[in-house]
Amino acid sequence: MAVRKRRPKSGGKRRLEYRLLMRFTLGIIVVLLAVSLFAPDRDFSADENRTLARFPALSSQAVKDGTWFEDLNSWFSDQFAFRGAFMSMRTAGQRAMGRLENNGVIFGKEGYLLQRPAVMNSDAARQTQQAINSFAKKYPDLNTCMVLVPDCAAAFPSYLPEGAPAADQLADISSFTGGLDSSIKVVDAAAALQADGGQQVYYKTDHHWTSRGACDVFMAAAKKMDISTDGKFKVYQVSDSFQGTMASKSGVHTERDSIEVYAPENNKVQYLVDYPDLGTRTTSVYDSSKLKEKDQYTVFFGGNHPLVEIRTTADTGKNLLVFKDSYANSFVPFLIPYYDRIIMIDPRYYYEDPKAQLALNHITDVLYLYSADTLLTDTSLKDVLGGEDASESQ
Amino acid sequence: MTFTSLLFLFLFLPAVLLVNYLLRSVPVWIRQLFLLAVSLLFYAWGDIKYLPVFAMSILLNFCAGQAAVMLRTSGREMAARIALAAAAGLDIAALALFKYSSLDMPLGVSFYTFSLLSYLFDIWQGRTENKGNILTVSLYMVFFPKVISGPVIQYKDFIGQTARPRLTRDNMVSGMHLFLIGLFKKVLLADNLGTSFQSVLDLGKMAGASAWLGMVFYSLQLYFDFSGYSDMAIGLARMLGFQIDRNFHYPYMSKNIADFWRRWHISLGAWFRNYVYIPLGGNRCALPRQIINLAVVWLLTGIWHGNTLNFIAWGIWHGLLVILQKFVIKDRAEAVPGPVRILITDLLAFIGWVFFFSPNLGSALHYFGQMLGRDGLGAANGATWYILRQNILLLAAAVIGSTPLPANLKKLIYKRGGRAMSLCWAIAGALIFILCIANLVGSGYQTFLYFKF
Repeated sequence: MAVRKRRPKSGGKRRLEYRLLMRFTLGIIVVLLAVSLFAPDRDFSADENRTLARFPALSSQAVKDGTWFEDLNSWFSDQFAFRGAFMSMRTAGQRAMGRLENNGVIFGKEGYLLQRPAVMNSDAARQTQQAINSFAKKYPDLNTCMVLVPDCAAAFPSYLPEGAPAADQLADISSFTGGLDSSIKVVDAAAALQADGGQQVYYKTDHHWTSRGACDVFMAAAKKMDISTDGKFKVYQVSDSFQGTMASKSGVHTERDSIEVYAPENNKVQYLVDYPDLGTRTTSVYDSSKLKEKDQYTVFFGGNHPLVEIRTTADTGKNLLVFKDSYANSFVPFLIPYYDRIIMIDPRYYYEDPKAQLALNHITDVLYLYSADTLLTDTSLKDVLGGEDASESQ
Repeated sequence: MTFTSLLFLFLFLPAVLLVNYLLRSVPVWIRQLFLLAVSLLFYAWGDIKYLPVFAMSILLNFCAGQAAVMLRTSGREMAARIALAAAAGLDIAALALFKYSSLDMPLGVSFYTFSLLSYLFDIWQGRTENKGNILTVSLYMVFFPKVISGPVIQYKDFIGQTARPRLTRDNMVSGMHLFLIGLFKKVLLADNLGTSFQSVLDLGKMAGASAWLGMVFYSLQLYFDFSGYSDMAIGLARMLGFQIDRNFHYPYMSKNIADFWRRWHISLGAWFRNYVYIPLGGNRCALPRQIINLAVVWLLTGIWHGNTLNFIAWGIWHGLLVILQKFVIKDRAEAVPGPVRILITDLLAFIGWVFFFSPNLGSALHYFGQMLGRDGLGAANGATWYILRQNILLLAAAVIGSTPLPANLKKLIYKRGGRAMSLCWAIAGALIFILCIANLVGSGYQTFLYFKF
C-alpha cells in the first residue's frame, strides 16, 4: 500500500486511460470484424466501378507464389465493414484539413471536380503524329480532320484554385497539331469551347465534355468537314442525377450533373447501329438502360467498343472513319445525318488492320476525335495505324 | 503483411494476442513455439518466396555459432574463429549479394542480417549465457514485431526475455496504447505528409521555396513513418510480454549531430557502436585512428541503407558532421542559444535526407540546385502558396508532434484534471483509431518507406 501512495498521481489516471482505451479498441475491432465477416460479400463497387475481391480459393500454387496472401488482403479490405462510410469519412477529413485535392482530383470553383491535365508523353505523341502523317500521305484522297479536346482544367484554368499547378495542355495541343501534315484540317476545339464558356460545356463530376460542349465543337468542325447545318437542335434532358468518375475518384458527392441529348430539328435520316463485339444491332445510339447504372455517360453508344458501324439513309455519298476515344461517343451522334456510313474505331480495344475498313466501306473522310489526355499519352493509335505500315512492307 | 493492413489489425493481431493470452499458463516452450510459428506466418505473408532462404540462414548461423563456442571451449581457438568468421562472412556476403545484384531483396534482409550477426557476436564474446536452444534463438531472429523493419534489438537484450515474457495487464494496455500512437503517426501524419511531399515532386520544375517545403515534408514524413513503425513494433512486443527499448527520442530536438544520432534510430546506432566502432578501438586510441573508426562506421551506415551513391554520400555527410562536431567544434557551440542549435541541427539533418530520398546522386544534386532556384521560378510562386496553404494545418501538427510538447501538455492536464480526464483521453484515442481505419480503408495505403532497405 505504501508503494501505491508514493506513485505519482497521474500514474493511476494514465493507467485508467490505457485500460479504457484497450476496451474501446477491442470493442471497435470485434464489431468491425464481426460485420466484415458475417455480412454477405459484395460483388461490385459502383463508386469505384470495379468488381470487388472474393475470398481466394486455397491452392498450394497460390500459397507458394504468395498470391494467395495478397488476394486474402484484397478480399479483406474490399469486403471491409462500412467501407463506403469510411471512404467518405476520409474525404471529409482531407477537406477539413484544408486539402484542395483528393486522390488526384482538384476541388475546383463552382463545384467543378477537375483532374489535372495529363502531362504529354513526348515520345508517344511524336510517334502518333508521325503515324497520322504517314497515313494521310498514303491516302491523299481522304478528307482528314483532327479534333483534339482539352481537359476542363486546361480550357478553363479559372476554375482551378489559386496557384494550382497544371500542365499547359493547350500548348501541348498546339505543338501536336502544329506538326501535322498540312493536308489535315485541324479544328480548334479549345477556342470553340471557351467561346461558349458561359454555359456548362464540361460535366462538374465527370472527366467528359457535356453534349453542349460537343455541339459547340461540332459547329466549329462542320465547316472543315464540308457539312452544312442550320445549327438548330431539340435538347432533351435524359438525366439529372449523374455523378461521374471525378466524384467517385475524389469521394466528393455534393454535385449532380444532368445529361442532355441533342437532336437536329429538321432531320429525316434514319440509321442502324451495329456492335460487332456484342453481335447486336439497334436503331438508336443511346442506351437508356445505362442511365440506371453508375456511369451514366455510357448512355452514348453504351460505352466504348472496339468497332461500331452506323449505316444511314442520308445518301450523301460520304463515308466516315472515326478514330476515337470516349469523347467521341457524345460527338458522333451529331454527324449521323451527313454520312452514309460511319465506322468508329477505338484503337485502345481494336487490334485489326483499319485498311480493310477503308476499302470495305468506301471511306471518303477520316476524323480523329480524341481528348488530349488520351492522344498525347497513349500509343494505341500509333499501333493501329502503324500496324498497317508493317504489313505493307512485308 | 504490414502492421497497417486491415487484415493484420483485425484478424492477425487479435488472434495472436488471444491465443498468447490463453497459453499464459502452459510450459513456456509451447508459447515460444507458438510465437515462432506466427512469426514465420507473418514473414511468409510478406515474402513467402524467400522464407526458405531465411530459414536456412537461421539454421546455418545457429549451428555455426554453437560450433564456434564448442570449438573454443575445447581449446581449438583457430578453428572456432574460422567457424565464426565463415558464418558472419556468409551473412554479409548474402546481404551484399541481395543489395547489389538485380535479385529481389528478401523482406527485411538488412534488419534480420543484423540479428544474425548480433547472435554470433554476443555468444562469441560471452555477452550472454549461451544455452544453445534453437527454439529461442530462432524466435529472436524472426520475432514478428521487429523482423521486417527493426528495432535492431541485440541478442543479449532479447534472449533472456524468452524464458519469462512478462504478460501483465499493464504491459498489455500500455503496449496497445503505444501501438495506437504508432498507428496514428504512420497513418494520419506520415502518409499525409507523403502525399504533400509527392505533390511537390509532381511539380517537376519548382520555385526555391517549394523545394525547401518538399525537404521539410519528407523529413517529417520519414520521422513519423519510421518512429511510428518502431512504436508499433515496440507496442506489439510489449503486448506479447517483451521489452524493447525506444528507437526514437525526439530526434528533431537534438542540439548537435552526435546528439541527433543518440535520438534517431537508436537501435541501429547501438548496433554499430557495439559490433563495429568499439571492436575497432572506439575512442580509446590515437586521434587519427579514432577518425578512421568513425569514418568506417558512417560509411557502413550509408552502405547499409542503400546500394546507390546517394546513400554513401548521405553516410559521408553525417560522418563528416559527427567528426567535425567531435574534434573541431566540441563544446564551443554551447554559447549559442539552444533553439538556434536545434534549428541548425535540423537543417543539417534535413539536408542529409535530400540524399536519402533522391533515387541517385545526380538527382540529389539537382534537387539542391532547385532549392537554390535553378529552375528560374524565383524564391516562391503560386504553386508554393497553393501547396503551403493546404498543408499548413498538417505541417503545424507535425512540427508540434516532433517536440515533447504534446506529452508535456498531457502530463500537465493529468496533474490538474480529475479522473474524467482519463475517459476523455481514451475516447480521443478511440476516435483517432477510427480515423486511422478510415484512412486505411479509403486509401490504397502506402507501404513503409523503410521496407525497401
